[in-house]
Amino acid sequence: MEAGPHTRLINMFMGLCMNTVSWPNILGELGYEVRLIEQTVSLRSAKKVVPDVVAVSDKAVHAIVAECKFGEIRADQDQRYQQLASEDLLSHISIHDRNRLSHTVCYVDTPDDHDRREPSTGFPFITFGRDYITASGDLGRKELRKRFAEPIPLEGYDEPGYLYPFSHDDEDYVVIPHVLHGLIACAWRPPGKRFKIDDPGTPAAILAIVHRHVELISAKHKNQLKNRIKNVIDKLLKERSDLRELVTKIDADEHRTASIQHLQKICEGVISDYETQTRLDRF
Amino acid sequence: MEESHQLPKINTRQQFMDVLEDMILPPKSEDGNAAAGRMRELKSYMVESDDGLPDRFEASGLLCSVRNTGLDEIKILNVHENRDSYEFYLDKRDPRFFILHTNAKSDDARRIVEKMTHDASHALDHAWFHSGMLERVVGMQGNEFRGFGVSYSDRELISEEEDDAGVEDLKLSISGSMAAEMKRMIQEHPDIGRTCAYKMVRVMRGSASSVHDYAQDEVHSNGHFSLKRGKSVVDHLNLLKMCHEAYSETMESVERLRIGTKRVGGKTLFDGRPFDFKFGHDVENLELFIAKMFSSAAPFNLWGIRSKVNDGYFRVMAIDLHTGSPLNFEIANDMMRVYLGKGNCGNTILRLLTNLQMHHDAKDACLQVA
Repeated sequence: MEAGPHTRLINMFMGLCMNTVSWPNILGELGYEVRLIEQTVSLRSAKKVVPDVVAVSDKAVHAIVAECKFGEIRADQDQRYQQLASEDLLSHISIHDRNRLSHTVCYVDTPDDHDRREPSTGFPFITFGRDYITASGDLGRKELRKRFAEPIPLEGYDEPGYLYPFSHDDEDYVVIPHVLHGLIACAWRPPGKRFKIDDPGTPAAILAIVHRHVELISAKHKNQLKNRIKNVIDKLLKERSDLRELVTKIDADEHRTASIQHLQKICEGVISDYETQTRLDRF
Repeated sequence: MEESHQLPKINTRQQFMDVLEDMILPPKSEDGNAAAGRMRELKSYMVESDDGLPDRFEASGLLCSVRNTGLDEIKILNVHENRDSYEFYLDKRDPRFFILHTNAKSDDARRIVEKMTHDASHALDHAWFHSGMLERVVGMQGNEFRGFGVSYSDRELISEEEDDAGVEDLKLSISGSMAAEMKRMIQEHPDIGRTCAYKMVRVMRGSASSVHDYAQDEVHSNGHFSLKRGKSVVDHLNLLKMCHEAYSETMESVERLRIGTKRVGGKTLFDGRPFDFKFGHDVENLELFIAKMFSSAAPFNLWGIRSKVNDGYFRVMAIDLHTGSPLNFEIANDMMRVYLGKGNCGNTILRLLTNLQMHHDAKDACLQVA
């Protein structure tokens, strides 16, 4: 099953800057790089915004402040984004010509309910459809307007999913595979570098394995992710009594390879159970 | 090289080269004077090491100890296997990629190095020369192409056959004047070409006018060099040096792309990108391909939790069992995206590419690896 729509949108937007041939590199070609993820930016008014992604082009001295949306646009959030000044971003990003920095706030969404969202804001949109990427509104720079003038076909592309693996508000079925992956990676490490399932440092170790750019994430969001991982570990240990024993086995057992092969089936079974449960709950 | 009690003095690189030259001489006759029998083959292995080697260690049942010589960068590695013991000269000039030299019998030397690199506890791995890298070796200044070997088997990745009857296997070795023409013919044939990943190339350096003035080496895809003809140890070592430089360069370029963050001017920035693999031909049975690749077995040594996005697209959260590195894959019939984090070893990507070429399609490529 796919991750939640918010997480998918973050991945698809980040993918546009990744210079990878297996996803349109539209923003990467224009020099944009991902600089911030879920970082709290303070405004002059002392209010705050937490854009999902900020991509910056050194060449254009321009930032795209992306807010991913699958629900309604919140008027209070939209107003705070209207107050965002380019100087507010300078506390978080480095750029050679600080005085020239400009920015565009941009909503990133899907075609579902797009027609309801668009009239409720003056900001532009980048919309990821099934077959095309489209843009509406003024993206603020000539080269961006030109690049997005025509729909960008997505045929033959598969969306990236591991640039931003999960968010703290993703459902269990999204988070659990990452936590299992992290737990087993921690147990498979060489002696002396291993984390055991109950170690207090294990959620942070898993976070560093799963979210490889964790240092870009705000402290608040980092804590939310760590707590989410801790809760999922507790839940798994409570509901799957065999898991502790199995993970411990690959930590110590001399037949580690056989144990980890066995764990592959167990993990895939656990994930399948939670996915089925999610489908039933939705039904 | 079987263990001897009186070790030669090594205080300079020249003395070290003299020792290697002595190693290829035929063993002395019983009266201790004239040389008797065939020349012994000098074998050298490029080994990647993340953590360095302790003075004493165990690996896959081998008991190993490292002794000093008079030269800091040259050590002697004693390996005990059951009742037998072997000695290797260990050149640690580059601690990340060290070289093991021996004149032990081929089967013994290969088995010992295989065991050392198989054991994950010391994070040792072969150097992995994919076909493009071996082509580069052929084209290096002073090298003359003398032959090649290919090895392909789809058993490890795509064969659906339970017995050997339907497995596609190709093993071939050609040396001499017809090698270049054979290579061209094979590569131009679309079906045969896809099964012809290099297992080895044979190159000659130096002048053929005297056996002392040239070296004809086989360079294998697992970083193994064997001096097949000629006695010029200096040419053998120069070949190793050039290959080492090329491999280090490739490794650096791979590791620069690992995903994570970097610090620039006091700021933390996003860094790296996924690796894009393009398959030479579409994978027909993607589920089987993925099941085999992540079965924890050699040669891929990958473990993974699979997740099906749709019939033609899978995600896998994996662990490289060899290095312990966690990494992620997105796999479709025609391409694969690999996410490798900072702190993880770039050799994972080069091992993956080399083995894909030998077990799926010789034309499989990673777009970020030259």
